[in-house]
Amino acid sequence: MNTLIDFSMMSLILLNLVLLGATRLIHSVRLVAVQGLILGLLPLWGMVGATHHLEIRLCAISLATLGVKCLLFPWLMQRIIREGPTHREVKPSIALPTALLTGIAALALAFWISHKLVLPDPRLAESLIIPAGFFGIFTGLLLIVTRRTALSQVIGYVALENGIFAIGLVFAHEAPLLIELGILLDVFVAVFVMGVTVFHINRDFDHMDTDRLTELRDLPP
Amino acid sequence: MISALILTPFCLGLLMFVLRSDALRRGLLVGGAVLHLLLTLTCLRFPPLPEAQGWLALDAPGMLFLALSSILFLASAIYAFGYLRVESHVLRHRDVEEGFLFDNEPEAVFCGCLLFFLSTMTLVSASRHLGLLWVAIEATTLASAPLICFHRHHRSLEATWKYLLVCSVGIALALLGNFFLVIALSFGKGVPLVSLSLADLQNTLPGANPAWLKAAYGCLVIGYGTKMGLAPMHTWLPDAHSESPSLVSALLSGAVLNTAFLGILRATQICAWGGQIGFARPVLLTFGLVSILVAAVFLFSQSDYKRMLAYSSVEHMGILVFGLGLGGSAVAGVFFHAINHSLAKGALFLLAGNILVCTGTKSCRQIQGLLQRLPVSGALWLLGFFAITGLPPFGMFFSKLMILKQALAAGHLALAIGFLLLMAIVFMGMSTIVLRMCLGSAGHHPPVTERPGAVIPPLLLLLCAVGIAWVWPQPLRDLIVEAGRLLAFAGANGGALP
Repeated sequence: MNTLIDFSMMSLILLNLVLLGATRLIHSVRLVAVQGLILGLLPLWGMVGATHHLEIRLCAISLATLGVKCLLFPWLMQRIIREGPTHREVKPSIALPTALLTGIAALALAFWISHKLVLPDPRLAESLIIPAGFFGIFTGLLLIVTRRTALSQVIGYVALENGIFAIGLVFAHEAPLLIELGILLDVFVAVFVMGVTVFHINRDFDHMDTDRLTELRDLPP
Repeated sequence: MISALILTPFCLGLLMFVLRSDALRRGLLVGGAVLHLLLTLTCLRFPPLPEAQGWLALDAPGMLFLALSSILFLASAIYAFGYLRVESHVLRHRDVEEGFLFDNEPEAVFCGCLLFFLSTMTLVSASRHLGLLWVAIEATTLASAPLICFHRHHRSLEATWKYLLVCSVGIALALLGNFFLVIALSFGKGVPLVSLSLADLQNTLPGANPAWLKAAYGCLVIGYGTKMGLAPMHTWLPDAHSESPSLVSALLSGAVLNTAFLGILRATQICAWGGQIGFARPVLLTFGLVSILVAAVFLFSQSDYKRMLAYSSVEHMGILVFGLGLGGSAVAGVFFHAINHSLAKGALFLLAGNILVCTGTKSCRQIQGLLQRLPVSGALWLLGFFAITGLPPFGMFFSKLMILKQALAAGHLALAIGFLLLMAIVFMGMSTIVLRMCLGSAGHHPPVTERPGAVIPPLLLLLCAVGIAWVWPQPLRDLIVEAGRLLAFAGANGGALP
């Protein structure tokens, strides 16, 4: 399709792999911020390839994505890290090398699924958009399930959203601006409310380890 | 008209953050609820015109769920009026179970989020655009999360965290489902403009790619099913319902689960328009039966009565999805079931709040003789149990019968037997718990006279449930028949009522 888009997608995949191995929280936050930067620029690359003139709608989406994913999220999460007691991920439930290997398996799975799916536009089938999107989703889910720090789980959620966004930004190019902005607003508020909750968990428990959040259950441990 | 319904609670919610007086805030909360119900009744009487290019319109299912949310919100607002006044008397609260001290959330945040919550639920009911529907359903999660941790302690924080994370991830998958739908629609049409408005979808879907449509349907059902509390994605539900204040549990169970069900209804609608109803039915039937099964297992040995109510919600959501999967005349039964469930469950959660305040424990093994200890709430609790398990004089019996009848009529004998067996297990599990709580001697506890503000809302909800079953008002009947007709997809006699 477009070399710029493929280059962006390749970077997304690599960033996700690095994210799986990152332990310092501030480092993970920067990684998802770079993902936000790539996603924010994505609508512009599509424009360069297709029409060669600026569309106000796409510029607005690009600006809003950059503002939320590249500036607001990192700022919010950095504040939580600075004020909280936890600065690095402690004892994730699977070891980091295992997580990386699982990530590579997930990447293979993402490519396999994308290979099986029939796409409306044959040029899209050759591009890396679908595998990169799926890999983002798998990475996010993997982080949410295996990490124990509340903030790491939020970062996992953002990685998952980024994966879905990568698919959405390319395919939903005719979606109304209002809906795109509504989705961005929702994701922003979600991360904001999660941030506030993490802040309270920090204060009440003196840490943000979610494996201590296990009191509510029906089956005995 | 519809935008007024959405914006009124939203603006009142904003106002809550500005006001200084707690009393004024509580009064305004009840006032907002009354105003919303009046506007809803006006819409019921004079159907409003579609707004915003047809994105906002009230069809029969939307109208039904809007009316339910509005009634339930009014009951909860009246309950909140007295509840917040009692809560504000002390600065530091002692946890009734573990005895530590904790703070409450600021009342402005609580009241404001309650009204935002009403506004977002209205938006879900009125959405006729799948993108807008997604935005609105995610917004209900976000507006309700601060409500769950009104009492700020470790258990409510744990419940809030699970609710936020599980539901957000689930709803993110529903977004993926929406994108898949766009891909399915952009096949071979040569039409660049893909619209997710329901009015356009009806025309464009027959040409959609079946594989992508199925993938979209799977993502939408798993996504909105997470929010609806279908097993095995229900894990957030018992925690959130047992740790939030009772009036919030009533709203979560009676109103939010319905709005998520509306998401599944819309997904099934598009699946049927795309000619894939044969794919949707087994998915729905499986999710339905698994949910009822999981609920039955966990109900049987439940020791916490708020968690018991939460699992009962999982069971009833399972019944709704099961009925939708059967199609035909069961769909009208599904809507009737949803109405009965919301009213009864709302009343039961409010009563559970009364019982918790009086007895100081959530464990049903430590409670006996409620009929003597709390004469009013105890009697209503027993009546509510009749309502939720489908005993007369309540209407749930008829709705379950309609679903069962369709299962037999469609020749699903094994499904019908399984459904009946699970209903029996659920009934036994719940009746053991509730009867042990109500009967027996109260010991040395004297009977308690309760505040009228705490017993009138559940009483009104139960009266509504009885009234609907026996008076069977014409507008309601029309709505149910219309909603059943819209979603039956079996042709023939969809929507026939007893």
